[in-house]
Amino acid sequence: MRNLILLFALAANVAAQQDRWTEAFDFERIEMPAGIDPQIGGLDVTPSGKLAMCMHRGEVLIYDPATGAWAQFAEGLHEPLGLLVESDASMLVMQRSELTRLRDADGDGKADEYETVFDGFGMTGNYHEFAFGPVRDAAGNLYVALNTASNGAGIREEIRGDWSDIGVERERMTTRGKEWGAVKVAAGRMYARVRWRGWVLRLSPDGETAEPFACGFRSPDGIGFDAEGRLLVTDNQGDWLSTSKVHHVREGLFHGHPASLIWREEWTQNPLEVPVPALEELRTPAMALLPQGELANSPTQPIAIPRGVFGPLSGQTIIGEMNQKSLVRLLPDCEGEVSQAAAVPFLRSDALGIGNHRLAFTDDGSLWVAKTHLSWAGADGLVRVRWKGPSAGMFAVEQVKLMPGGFDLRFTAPVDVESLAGVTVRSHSYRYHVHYGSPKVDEREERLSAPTLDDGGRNVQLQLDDPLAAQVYTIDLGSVRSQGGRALLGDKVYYTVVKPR
Amino acid sequence: MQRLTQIAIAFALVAPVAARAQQGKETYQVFCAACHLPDRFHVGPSLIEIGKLYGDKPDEFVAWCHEPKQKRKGVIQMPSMAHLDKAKLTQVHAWVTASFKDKAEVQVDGLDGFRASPSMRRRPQVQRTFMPDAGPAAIAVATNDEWHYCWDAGLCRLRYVWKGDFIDGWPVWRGNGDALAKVVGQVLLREGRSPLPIPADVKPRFFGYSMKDGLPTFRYRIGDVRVEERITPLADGRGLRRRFSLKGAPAGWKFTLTKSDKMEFSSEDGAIDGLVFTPRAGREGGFTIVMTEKK
Repeated sequence: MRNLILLFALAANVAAQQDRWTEAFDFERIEMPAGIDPQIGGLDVTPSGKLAMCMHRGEVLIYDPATGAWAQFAEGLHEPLGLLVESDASMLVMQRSELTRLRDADGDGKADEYETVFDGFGMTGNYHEFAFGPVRDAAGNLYVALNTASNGAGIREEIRGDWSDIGVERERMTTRGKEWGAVKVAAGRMYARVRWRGWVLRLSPDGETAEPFACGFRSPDGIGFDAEGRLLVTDNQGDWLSTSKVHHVREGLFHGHPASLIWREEWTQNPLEVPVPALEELRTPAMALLPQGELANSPTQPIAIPRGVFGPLSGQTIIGEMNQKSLVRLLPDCEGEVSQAAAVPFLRSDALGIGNHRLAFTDDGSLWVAKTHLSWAGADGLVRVRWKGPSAGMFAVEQVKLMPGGFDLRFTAPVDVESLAGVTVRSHSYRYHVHYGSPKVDEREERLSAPTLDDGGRNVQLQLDDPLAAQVYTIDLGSVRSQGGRALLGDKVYYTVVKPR
Repeated sequence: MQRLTQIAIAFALVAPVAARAQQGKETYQVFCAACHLPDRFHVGPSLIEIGKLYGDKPDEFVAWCHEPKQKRKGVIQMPSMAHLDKAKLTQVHAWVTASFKDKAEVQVDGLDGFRASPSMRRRPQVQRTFMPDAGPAAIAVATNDEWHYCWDAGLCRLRYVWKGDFIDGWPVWRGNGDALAKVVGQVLLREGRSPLPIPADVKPRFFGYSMKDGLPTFRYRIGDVRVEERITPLADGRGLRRRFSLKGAPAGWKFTLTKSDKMEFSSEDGAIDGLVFTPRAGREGGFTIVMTEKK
């Protein structure tokens, strides 16, 4: 009897979760070369259409999708977490200690020059001081992002670079073992006692000069430009981060995690002693809040979908995610200085799996998803994702615009008007505080007027009864069908309101 | 029909319990799963172990989640889950206890699965990682099967030379880097300073290295002096040779070697007086110091 019920429940569950994503996309796991730890830190495509990737133990591998052949380009790098191809014979790799140009000068397919392009940042030896990037802007400048240190450990006796005296004295920061417990709270959960931790830096095209560009980051694993040229950086839920975020990074801004403020010019205060309202005043709110557990737990690299790829989603931005079997699709809704956005699940499928760290597109329209875990939640290896084409459909939310009192949603195909009856909107906010994460606060169900349609059913207006006062609006479109009866690819929209209109 | 009614009634009875467990599971997946795996130790203990520890102690479980402490050596302290209320955490406890308490953990092989792989055993080999007794930007180099050294890219100098089986990087690679690699073998030489006469107010700048025959030639600058340094194994297996090439060095530069009980120095490019090396005429721009193990 009990078994029967379980079976019944299971069947219902399976039916409800029939995988829309595998109906529209092919997922192919690539076999990795034997004998190499298959955690991938960085990924890019060479001009000849090969994939270059840097590995957990420091190898740089080249994979040729045309032949399935693997080759090794370089070795011995220290936890490289970003790779930018310059040519088939030259690439930039960000390792823990420096930005390095790997160059094959003699044409044998292996790097013989490991040139230090930039190492002008501090290292305390703390494990959380990862380094990310680089990405290049249209003018050729490079951008890198530096992780803060974690009070899961202290610092080592030998450090590189200048030490800031703001905070617990240096000798106590080297405490290990049980005694560290007495120091760690005062150290701050994430700290930035050497230069440019928690910052994004801009380097001149030749790497010769570096400028501090923006600060307030905690663990900025994802850095990339969208198709409009916005520099996007993702940051991870934790202290001061209510939930994971996407920032539109602009010069001079403070993006919310205070540890890095100590490297602002003429800054003298311990950031942990600054009243929260003063920090609130300083910070630029995130462009998108990605609700923990629902949409993302640990977002990674943003990348623009190239022209002609994924049909109507061409030109949009997708973002990797470590802990969920999903990516995130970002729908910016920027006006003037105010950057805000909606975010929608993308490729949410067991076939994708977790650990989605680095993303790249090849010219044939394949999306390559490279995985890692570094002992946290994640996976390893490489997955290729291909859209099955227009016949497989791409019914999705194309754009969300904040309007006075509500939202305009644009869909990639006309919507069945009756299916809109099931649309619901919930809202919530988060706290900005020193603690790790924030519960949802002021959570509530919004009352809606009946949705209206125009443009033959492709545009839907949702009008809320009450004024928009919350940070995040979760629009549940699970009921929505296209006029052809398709369900949405990504049926929950999380809209972050920075400024109501 | 009667059958269906039975099913419906039974479902209605079981549903609340199942729903609670389901909610506990969902909370776990959102807030706990990144660090706690069901069947083996990950960043923190497994659900099986937690089930055993807290099986009949829901209040202690909630108290721990709200105010975690450091209990295990070498394991990071859990962040407080104070944002989850008691009801939610009790659901997690109920689910963990019901689902995992009586299961057995999977025994995970704690050894490095790639230790013997060719990419980790190649010789020579260059490997940047966190090394003991060096700055955080260290480079470990295996010159052959036996002779290895650690070079510090932060300070632009050799730190130590050892003889043995290179490094065990597993403490670093197994996780997120909260450890040092181990030197495997016996350290024969440690240098406390560069042999080059670097003025106290000059900070050397590192430019990277070129690879030739699998070994690096380091490039750095001390003020206006450009230096290349290359360390290669002696053909007879007795030690290492260390080649310096200098551009722009002022006349009369002398070089101070570091005293060692286990290694001795010689050079055909100049005179070694005590620990001071003076290149002979014509060799100021490039000389080799041979470092051999004392008999």
